[in-house]
Amino acid sequence: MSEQERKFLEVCDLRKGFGSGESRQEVLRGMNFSVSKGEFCVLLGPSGSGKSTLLNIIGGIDGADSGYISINGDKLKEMDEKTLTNYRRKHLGYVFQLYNLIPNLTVKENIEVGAYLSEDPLDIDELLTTLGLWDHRNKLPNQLSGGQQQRVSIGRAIVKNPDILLCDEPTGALDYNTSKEILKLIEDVNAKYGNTIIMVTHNEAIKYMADHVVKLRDGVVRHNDINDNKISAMELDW
Amino acid sequence: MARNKIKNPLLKRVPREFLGDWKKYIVVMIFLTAMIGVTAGVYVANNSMMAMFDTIEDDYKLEDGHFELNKKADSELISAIESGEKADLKAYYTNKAHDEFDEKFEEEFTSEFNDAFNSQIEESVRASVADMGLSEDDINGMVLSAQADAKDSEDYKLAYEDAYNEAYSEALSEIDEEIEEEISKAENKYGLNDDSFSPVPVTVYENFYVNLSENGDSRIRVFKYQENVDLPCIHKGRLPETGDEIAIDRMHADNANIKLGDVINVGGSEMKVVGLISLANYTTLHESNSDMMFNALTFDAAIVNDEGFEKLSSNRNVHYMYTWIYDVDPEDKIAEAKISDNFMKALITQVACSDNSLEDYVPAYANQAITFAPDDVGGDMSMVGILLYIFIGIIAFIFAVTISSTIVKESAVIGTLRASGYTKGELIAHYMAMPLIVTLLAGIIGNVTGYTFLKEAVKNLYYNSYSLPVYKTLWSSEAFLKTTLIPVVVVLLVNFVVIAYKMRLSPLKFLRHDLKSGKRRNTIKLPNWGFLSRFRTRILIQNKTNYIILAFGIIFVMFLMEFAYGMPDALDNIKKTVPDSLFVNYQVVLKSTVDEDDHTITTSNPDAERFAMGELIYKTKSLDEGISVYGLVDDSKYFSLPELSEGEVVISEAFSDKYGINVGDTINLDAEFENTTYEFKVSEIRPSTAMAMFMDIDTFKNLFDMEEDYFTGYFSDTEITDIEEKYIAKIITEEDMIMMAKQLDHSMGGMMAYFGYVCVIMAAVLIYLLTKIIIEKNENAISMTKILGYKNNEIASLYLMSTTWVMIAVELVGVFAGRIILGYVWGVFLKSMPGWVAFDMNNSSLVKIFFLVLVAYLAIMGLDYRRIRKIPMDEALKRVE
Repeated sequence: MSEQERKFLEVCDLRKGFGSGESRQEVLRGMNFSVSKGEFCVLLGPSGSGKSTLLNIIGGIDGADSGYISINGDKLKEMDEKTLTNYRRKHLGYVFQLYNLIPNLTVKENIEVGAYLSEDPLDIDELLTTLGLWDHRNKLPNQLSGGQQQRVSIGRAIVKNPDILLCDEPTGALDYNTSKEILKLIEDVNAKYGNTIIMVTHNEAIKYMADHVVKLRDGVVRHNDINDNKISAMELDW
Repeated sequence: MARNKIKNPLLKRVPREFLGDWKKYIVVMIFLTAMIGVTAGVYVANNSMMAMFDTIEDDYKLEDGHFELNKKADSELISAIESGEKADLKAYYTNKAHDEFDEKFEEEFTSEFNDAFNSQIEESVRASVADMGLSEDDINGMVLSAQADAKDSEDYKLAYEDAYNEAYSEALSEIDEEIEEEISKAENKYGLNDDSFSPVPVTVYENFYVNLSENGDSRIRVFKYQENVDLPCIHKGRLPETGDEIAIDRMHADNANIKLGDVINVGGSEMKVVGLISLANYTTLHESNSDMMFNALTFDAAIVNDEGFEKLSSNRNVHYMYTWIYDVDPEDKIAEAKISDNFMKALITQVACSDNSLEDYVPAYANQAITFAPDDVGGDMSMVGILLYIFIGIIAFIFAVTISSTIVKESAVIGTLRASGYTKGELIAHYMAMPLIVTLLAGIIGNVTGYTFLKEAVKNLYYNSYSLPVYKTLWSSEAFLKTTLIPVVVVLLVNFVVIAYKMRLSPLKFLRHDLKSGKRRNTIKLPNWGFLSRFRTRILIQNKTNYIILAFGIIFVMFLMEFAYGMPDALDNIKKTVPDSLFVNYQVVLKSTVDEDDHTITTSNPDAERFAMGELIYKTKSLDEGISVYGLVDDSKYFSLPELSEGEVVISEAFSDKYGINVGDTINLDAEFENTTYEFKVSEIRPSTAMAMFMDIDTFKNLFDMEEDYFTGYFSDTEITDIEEKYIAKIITEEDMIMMAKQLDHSMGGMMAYFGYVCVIMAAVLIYLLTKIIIEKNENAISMTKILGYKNNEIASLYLMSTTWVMIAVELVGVFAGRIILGYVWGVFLKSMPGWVAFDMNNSSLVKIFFLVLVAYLAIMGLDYRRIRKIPMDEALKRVE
């Protein structure tokens, strides 16, 4: 792996605070770590540790006060809004805890919403099979279970074959079994398409399936570990 | 490659969005389609009519103006008038005076000189024979002989010549001085010393007419057919060929139920109607140019052939009307006014230099019978266009509010899409698609209906009032542009601004449902009211934009409703008040107060009372209004004047109301065709719907320099039957005063009733659309309150009561603000036309409007209640996902 691939995503002395004066709260207090290309990285931490803020900055939908994030050598802070949008369009996929599907589009069409953004999207039918949604492809979101909806949301994010898939508590609203199925799906996607995955979670168990675990607390990286003994998502237990 | 294969999937949302909320979109579409359809219909029909008006001049040889002379002009006068040159008043009066002087001077001088000479000789002879004791006969004989001898002498001849020359030049210079003075007065009076004057050559045509009665219940103006000017357009039948045939106005025939082939009584003669026509110079049947409104109900214009005219005009008052056409067409309206002014000056001088007098002068641009229809047709187009744009504006804002509400609802989806790389532009375009498509569809359907049957309906509206020539539909791209492109652009702009403003927020804010920009404003603190009141107030605050648009829309609709209900009220009031405000039932205006034998025209009717009447012009920026000036006899039994000092007058209430003239004000009025201004002080205002001013007859005569026995006609409470028709210029009755109201009622009354109901529907649509948005916005909260155990009635009272408060407040404001605004608009509108109709709207109509809109609201409230009832309890849970 080249140095550039090893430091595919680099977080460098990243700081971010909210509010001003006495009520100012520093959420990120100088964060440093890097993620390799194709790595499954889990950002772990309790509520308020800054993990979602970090993910949003990586996703280019929030900005840092100082420090920078570079992806494949490109620093996000040097990008204007238009370039940032283009960057998100070309390189990023987003999965949220709430699925945020478009209610009056079918499963397939919701995935097409993502495909439309890519110049080289994945084959949608094949992806629907991979996601286990082939039989549901013509259903509307409100006809699906939460897990199925999250699958659609993952499909929408990865159909454009993004370099990085950002997942913000993707199992936060799901039950145990469904959560494991979703994690398995993300794992499969990572294996099949080789996307770099950065997942924010407060579920400690998930760290065991990751290549790279970054533990955050009080806005700083407490642990930055490479997991050489990762296990399959289906083996997880919590 | 793949990208090209995938169409923007968001596009698929658009038809589903439409189907998902089809009731709302169908309502908006029907509303927009109807508005655009009517406007397109008006544009197409009116543009076609305007094009027709433009071609009337050539196709029907429309006059450039007309004037009326007291008697038929000889060819010399016509040639002089046609030259457009001013007559040399000075030379005319000088020559005339000199001729008269020369004719009489020699005789008068010789007689005077001889008288003096003879008496001088007689004196001298008598002195020389005084002591001779001769008889008187002898002396007389000597005197005669001496006088005869003296006249034969050279001395006499020399003395005669000297005295003659001296007296002649003295008298002549006196006459010249007098003429000079008179000419100077006349030049001032008529403004003849205008350096910018240039001659306006014209061609003058005879267009004589007689005013007669038609079937005993209408008046008919019968013209002699001529081929040169103001040609008729034949709608049905043909032109008259024999002396007992007549072609009458199509519109009047329709109103008076006269059919082709009917025989009508015209001034006592039976005439067969062989043609239904419209005359180019009577596109609206204005009997007099000072009439506020045309009258196609009891006034008719007709043509007969030479034989028919001979028969009908025999022993009657023929109006010697001459029409003119400029030899060189004026470039524009301003040039037309200028050359018309020059032509009038020349005409005045030419008529003054003949033994004739000018009775009337009306250039085409100031002739209501010619300009009223095109002005109205053009004005209606602008008015309908403005109404459409106001409604499009309201609809555009309703769309914007709907979309804002959707954006709030879909905030997380938008955040996700933006985070995924969708650009602001793509999302703005997506959310703008629906309003644009709905407007475009409505524009297309509206135009199709407008161009097909609505255009016919609009055309019929005009053809049911006006006497217009045959109509040809002209397809106008302007109509499509104005009724489709502009609405789409308005909707696009309003929605672009609102949506782009919403979309300016970061994806993160959308994801967090944090759509307030800048710092969060503190929540408005409410007084310590009960919980329910505070809840309702919060709903008001939350939906303030919706309520503002609702208020604007409802106030506008109520304004239109007040017009729809106020106009018939005002007309009804005229019909009711005119009889009370009339000071006399009949006013017989005589053409001449003496008959052919120079005997004053009298009547044996004991009610009759002489009066004098003239017209002065009250000039404003928008109109030169003719004011009838009455001179009343002392102790008049019809109109008793108060004690008036010099320069003081009484004016009518209509005159006072229209121009805001109060007692004590000084007003200036100008003489028609003259350069003289009169100043009056208003002493009293009397109820009268006429535009009139009153003074005593002596003041009148002094003011207008009239002879001691001058009068214009007779007032009477009973009909005067013993004055020959040929001496009567016109008879003014109560019917004439309310005819305008009747005609307006006939032309617009039915339409106003429909318009009122259309307004109620518009109000209902606005309420439906805006309350629907409020309820949809709060579906989640409503569902949650249901989960908490609130009953449907309680929830409805929370969400609907706020709207009810707003509606009642808006309606109250709307009723009163509409009344005030309409009164103002009415005044501005009527000030541009002669006459006055006070805007007296009945309070019952205001109450009716209030309740009609309230009923519309209550009906929609019923639908809203049903909607609230239908919101399921799991709605709140579903939204949480």
